[in-house]
Amino acid sequence: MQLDQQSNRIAAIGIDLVEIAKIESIISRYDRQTLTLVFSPWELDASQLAAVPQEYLALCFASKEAIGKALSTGLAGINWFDITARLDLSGYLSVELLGSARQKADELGLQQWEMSWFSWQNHLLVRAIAYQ
Amino acid sequence: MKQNSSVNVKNTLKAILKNLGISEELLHDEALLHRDLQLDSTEIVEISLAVKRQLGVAVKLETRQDKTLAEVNQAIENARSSLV
Repeated sequence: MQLDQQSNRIAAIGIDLVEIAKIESIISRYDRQTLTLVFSPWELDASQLAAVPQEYLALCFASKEAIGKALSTGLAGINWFDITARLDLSGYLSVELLGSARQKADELGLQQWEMSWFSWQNHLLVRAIAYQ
Repeated sequence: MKQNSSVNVKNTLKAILKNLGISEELLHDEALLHRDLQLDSTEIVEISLAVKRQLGVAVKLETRQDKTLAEVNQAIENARSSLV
C-alpha cells in the first residue's frame, strides 16, 4: 500500500522486539487449536509456507505488540487474533485489523498503517506507524 | 466442590509459572506478573496458552495494570464459571 504522506500525518508509533527462540519454543509445545488464541488462522497457514515458520510467527507476534503500543493501550481489551500480519515474498509487511483492534483504531482515527521490520542475532524488531 | 476447583486452578497456575522458571518462593497471591515475577509479553502469552490447554478456558492477561496472581486466579475462575 502506498501512503499519501502529503495528506496523512503520523498519529502514533509502536515498536516491539521479540526473541525468535521464545516464539519457536511456544509453537513447538502447543497445537494449532491452542495457538489460535494468539495467531489468526491465516498467519498459522502462512507460516507453514514460510522458509522459517518460527521467524514468520515471531514477526506476527512482534507486529501485534507494536500495533498494541501504537493503540496506546497495549493489547488490553484487544484479541490477539484480531490483528493479522502478512509478509509477502518481497519482505513487505502489512497488517489487517479486525474486531476489537479495528474498533480501537477507529476510535483513535487511525486509518493507515506502515510496518517495517528487521532481524539480527535471533531477534526481530517491528515498527508500526499509524497515520490519520 | 467450588473450593476444590479453586485449589485446582491455583495449583495449575503455580505449575505453569514454575515451568516458566519462576521460583516457588516468589509465587504468592500478591505477586505482580511484571513487577515481581519479571515476566515479558511472550511469557504472559504462554500462561494464557497453558491455561487454555490445561483448563480449557481462554483468559486474556494483557491489561493496562499489572495483575497479581490472585487476580489471575480470579480471571481463570470467572472464565470457567462462565462455561457452566
